[in-house]
Amino acid sequence: MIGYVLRRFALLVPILLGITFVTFMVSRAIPTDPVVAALGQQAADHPKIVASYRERWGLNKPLLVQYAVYLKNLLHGDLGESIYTHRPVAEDLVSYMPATIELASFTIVLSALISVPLGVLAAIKRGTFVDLAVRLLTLVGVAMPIFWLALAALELFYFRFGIVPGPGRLSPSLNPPPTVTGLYTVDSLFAGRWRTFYSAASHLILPSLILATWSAGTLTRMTRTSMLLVLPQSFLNTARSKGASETYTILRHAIPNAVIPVITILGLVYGDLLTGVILIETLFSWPGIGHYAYAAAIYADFPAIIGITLVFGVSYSLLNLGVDIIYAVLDPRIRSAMSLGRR
Amino acid sequence: MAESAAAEVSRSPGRWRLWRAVFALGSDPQLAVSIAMIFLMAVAILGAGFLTSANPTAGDIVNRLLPPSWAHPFGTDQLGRDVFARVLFGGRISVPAAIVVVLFGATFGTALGAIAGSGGRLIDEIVMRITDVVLAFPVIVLAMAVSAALGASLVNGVIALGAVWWPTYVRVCRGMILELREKGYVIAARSAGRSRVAVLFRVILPNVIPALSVMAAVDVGRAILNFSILSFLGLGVRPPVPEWGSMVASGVEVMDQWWVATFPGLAILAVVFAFNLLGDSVRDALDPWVSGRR
Repeated sequence: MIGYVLRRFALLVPILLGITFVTFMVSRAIPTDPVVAALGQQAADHPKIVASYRERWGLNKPLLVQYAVYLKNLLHGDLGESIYTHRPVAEDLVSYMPATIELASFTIVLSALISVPLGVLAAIKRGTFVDLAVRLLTLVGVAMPIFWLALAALELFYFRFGIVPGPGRLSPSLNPPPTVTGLYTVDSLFAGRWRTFYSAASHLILPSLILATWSAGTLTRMTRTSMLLVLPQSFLNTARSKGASETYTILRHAIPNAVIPVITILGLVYGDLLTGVILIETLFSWPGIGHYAYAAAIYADFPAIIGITLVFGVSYSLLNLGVDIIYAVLDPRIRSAMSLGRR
Repeated sequence: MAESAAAEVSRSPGRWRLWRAVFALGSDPQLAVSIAMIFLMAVAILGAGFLTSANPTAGDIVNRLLPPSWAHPFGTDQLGRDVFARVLFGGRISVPAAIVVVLFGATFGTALGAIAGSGGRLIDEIVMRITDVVLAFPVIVLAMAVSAALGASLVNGVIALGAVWWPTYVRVCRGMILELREKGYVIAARSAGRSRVAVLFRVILPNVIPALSVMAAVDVGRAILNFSILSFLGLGVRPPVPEWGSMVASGVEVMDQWWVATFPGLAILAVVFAFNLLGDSVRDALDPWVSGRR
């Protein structure tokens, strides 16, 4: 088991190298002069500044050497400077990260709360109207252009009816709570500021509900399929024959076994979530990585783009690794298969 | 049973296939509905010129922002262009663009998957590591980077999405080949003295390509959605070309005139939904192979 985990960690290295290499090469393929892009025309007119910048990033050397210099700087935590914000990319990433983590975690919890009951219900009522309705709903959810849904929801629930707060993480009249985790809902609780907590939580509801459209669709379908595979199994009859009620059998025996395989598609859900985060953060002025990614793409801010893809790539790979390990821990059959060798 | 009908069609041989397919449509409402939806939308998009006489790009500033009426079923936008005509003609951008993305992704991915699945261990390892790298990229972020580097346009949007669309096909194709290699008839062909290349092209690929084609057909919906996202963000098609994602984006300025953003959004939803419905009906027919990937 430990050997397996170590080997998977070792496999992360070539993936991360590949991600930086591809983005680096794309960034060098642009026609604009990276020096002018990074420093601006005024500074680029001073030969001294240009020379020191070229020195720092090895720009007068061959492309592969430039890449090596980039990697060396990366290992020292130096991702370069954002062309758009004029701040170190690493600093930008750290400051935008919590807002995204808060939004994404809330979304995942919300999708789980929606999709497990719906998926279980559809499976139990298989072939009935309820099942059909749930399946159609999930197909609509997965097909939804969520940028469009977000616009409609903002227009209706914020501008017309005023039942949800507008864009942003907090009401403008409130100060952010003192930073502990960077998650406003958690930090405001630590500080005991209830009004801030209420404002932060209510600002989360609409964006995360919309962001949950795709993930809830995918998760509901997976829960239903998984539940259909569990329901005919004989251990449920064992539970029933021991006198357990139908509700107890489903809740205690069927659902826990049906939910385990759902974990394996979290990687897929995560990809959708990232796309969604870029759209929703941009539309809701949510100061997170997605918003930063959008600005970076619009301004062709490549130091920032490389930093963002790196963060996304690392978290995707770590998530997949985590999913495989959790799956192995929860399911003894996989665990024993793994210790026998390569999967 | 929705699933078994499609499965039966894919199994039935030769000249019976067409009749079986027609019969299956009758016994499988979901499949029939999805195919009917796609067919109707294809007719509407291809026959756009017959359905409306309005020019999708000609502005008419006097008649700007008119609500839906008989003359303009979906109303008009800020420049007085007919939204109905723009939605119909927009399909001529979004749908072919998505088909090109999928065609490229499927062809390139299948070729790489075939190389990985039938080459040696080293080649397999190299191809799969490269695939892992691209798979670790969030599709939209890489597409955004590519189109930021090349500049936003229709062609660059297609290149950007195509560049990241192939990894799934590599995995599925390789998985299927690894499974087929153990099958009796493949071993028989090899032991009869056929070369590796001949076995790949004559025996293995003909068994892999039908399933991959179905997978690609269903994938068009996802490509349309992603393409519209890219355009919505201003990184794909630029105005005044009618494209659904960028039409929604331009509707943001005039949210009080709800029809400008609503109808192109509905068009995306309807088309992607139809493809998903189709995918849902044929999924089980594919499953024995698709389950071969990890």
